[in-house]
Amino acid sequence: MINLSNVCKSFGKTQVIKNVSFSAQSGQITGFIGANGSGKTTTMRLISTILKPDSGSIVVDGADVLREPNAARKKMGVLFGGDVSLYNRLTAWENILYFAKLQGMDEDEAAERIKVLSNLLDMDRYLFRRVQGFSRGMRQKVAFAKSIVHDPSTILLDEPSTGLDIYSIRDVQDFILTCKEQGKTVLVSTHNMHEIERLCDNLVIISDGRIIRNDTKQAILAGEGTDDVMEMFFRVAEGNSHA
Amino acid sequence: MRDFKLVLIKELKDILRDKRSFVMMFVPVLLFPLMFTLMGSQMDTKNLEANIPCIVEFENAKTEEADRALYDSLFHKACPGLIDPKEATGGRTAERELERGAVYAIIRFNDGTVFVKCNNSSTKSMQAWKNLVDKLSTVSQLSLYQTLQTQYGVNVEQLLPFRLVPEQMQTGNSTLASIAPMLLVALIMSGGVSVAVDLFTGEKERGTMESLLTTQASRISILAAKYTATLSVSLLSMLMSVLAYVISLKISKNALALMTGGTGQTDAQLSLQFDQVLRLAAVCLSLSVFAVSCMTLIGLHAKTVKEAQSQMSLLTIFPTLLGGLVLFMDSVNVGDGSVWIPIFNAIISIKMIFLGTAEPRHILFTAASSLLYAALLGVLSVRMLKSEKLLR
Repeated sequence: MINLSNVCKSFGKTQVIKNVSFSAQSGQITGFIGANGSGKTTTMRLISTILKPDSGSIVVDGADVLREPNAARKKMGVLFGGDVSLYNRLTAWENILYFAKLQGMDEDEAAERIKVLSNLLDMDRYLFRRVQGFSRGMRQKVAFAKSIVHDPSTILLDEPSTGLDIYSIRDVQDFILTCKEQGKTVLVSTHNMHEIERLCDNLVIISDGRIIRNDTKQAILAGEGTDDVMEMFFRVAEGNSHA
Repeated sequence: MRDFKLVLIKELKDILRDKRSFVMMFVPVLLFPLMFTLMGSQMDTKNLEANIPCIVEFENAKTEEADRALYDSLFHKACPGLIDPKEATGGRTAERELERGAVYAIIRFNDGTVFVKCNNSSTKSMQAWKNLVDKLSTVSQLSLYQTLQTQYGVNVEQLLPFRLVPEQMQTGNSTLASIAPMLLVALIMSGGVSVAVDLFTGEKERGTMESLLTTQASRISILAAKYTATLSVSLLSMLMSVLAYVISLKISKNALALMTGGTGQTDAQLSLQFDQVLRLAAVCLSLSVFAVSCMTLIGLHAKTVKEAQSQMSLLTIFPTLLGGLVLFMDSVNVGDGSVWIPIFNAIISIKMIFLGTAEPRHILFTAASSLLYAALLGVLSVRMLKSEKLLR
């Protein structure tokens, strides 16, 4: 579970996150949506301990990110916006193993886990090839595997399907659903409305650094009187700007 | 310690798999000796002191007989074996033969005047010309003295206002002392640049730094491991280049003259005492630590690889220019004030080591001040790595 309470963050004199509070529950996929520059990525970075909040608290599966950042990192798997960045001169196996070890796993344990992930993400064909020359879809799968190799209880995904082809999107989405079935907390930041429709149980909508709606997807759709997620988003955003 | 080891091994593996960096590190060992040997052979002047290939011409038919007598007295009696007279071949003119390097000089006689012409685009022709002119001047002078003494009974020795005896002090390493600071400092300051750019700024630009910082590895371990990897490559690269220069000096007697642009002794030997080598290692190692600290901070601070490369190129150019400046400075010492000027103190210390004038305290102060600056830069790098500005 992820719990944010009254989180504020400024860069210089500009306050980019304003009293943000929301929760993402275990065994559910929470969609984190908002326009570009609304504060999604900053919030993700705050949760992932890369940035520190000016005030408020962030707790990830019982670990406070400010007081126990390492405990929080152990419980989190993070994949940043379109993150397909890997070490090109290492093989897919070496890339994943490197991050597994940095997350405190020993060699045998990591090897077992990589085999499981490789099978799940269909990476067996290229697991021992150098990453240089991989397609974006192949890279995204390896990046996924390196982010969750330590079997975290909480997964943060910032635009996980950006730039992928339709088959890779299906594989990634299926994988996210598998994580949900395993009881993990999944927070997905995305612009892809189809992804929201297919994956998300709950939605957190952010605009100009403030949370403007936080509820189940069905409740928000019903409240806005539409079945279409994109239409719902526009109505919430416009309703907020009029208010 | 576990994280440090993990990151270090990964970085070294990554670097060693980069064929371009690997080749660049080892190429000088093969290329430099070959290059200096080939270029040095062009500067070999020993064979220009005798049998210099020349074309001899007599321009004036009216005075040819007298000019031929002068030629005989000069090149058969006074300087036998100095020249190897040739004829222009294939219908070419003497000028064309000189231009294409078939001969090194043209000697023309005209009514008692001797013209010696060289090709100033050829090093060998210039050297041959200098030898010819020097020898002929000496012959002319001696001939005058002889005439004055035999015909007029004048004791020339008594007429001369002073007696000149040219002498040279053979310090052995003076030429090396002028060139080594620039070479070593340039190698140290440039050795780890490409690795530092890749390991720090490249990691930020690729986005892998973000992933790295969300692992449980401590930021200090990550920094220390990347720093150690950069320092290792920098030192290895410097050692390879130094080895390349040493091999060049050993196998090509003109290598040093080439390195100094022709001002060095062509027969200088590379000879250092064990304590000089130790002192040199202390100064170079501490300067490498300082250089890699600068690269680390720049690498962390720069937003893009391009920005890091341009900033680090200044780091290479400035000390090399400073080293070049010291090349022309006759007498410098590491004093109380200059010992605290980074890079400059190392350049001066290296020069003093080669001249054999460096005292242990000079080396100690130089190494200590370089390490002190490196530590300060290290603190700034740690702060930068912990700062939120790192990934902005």
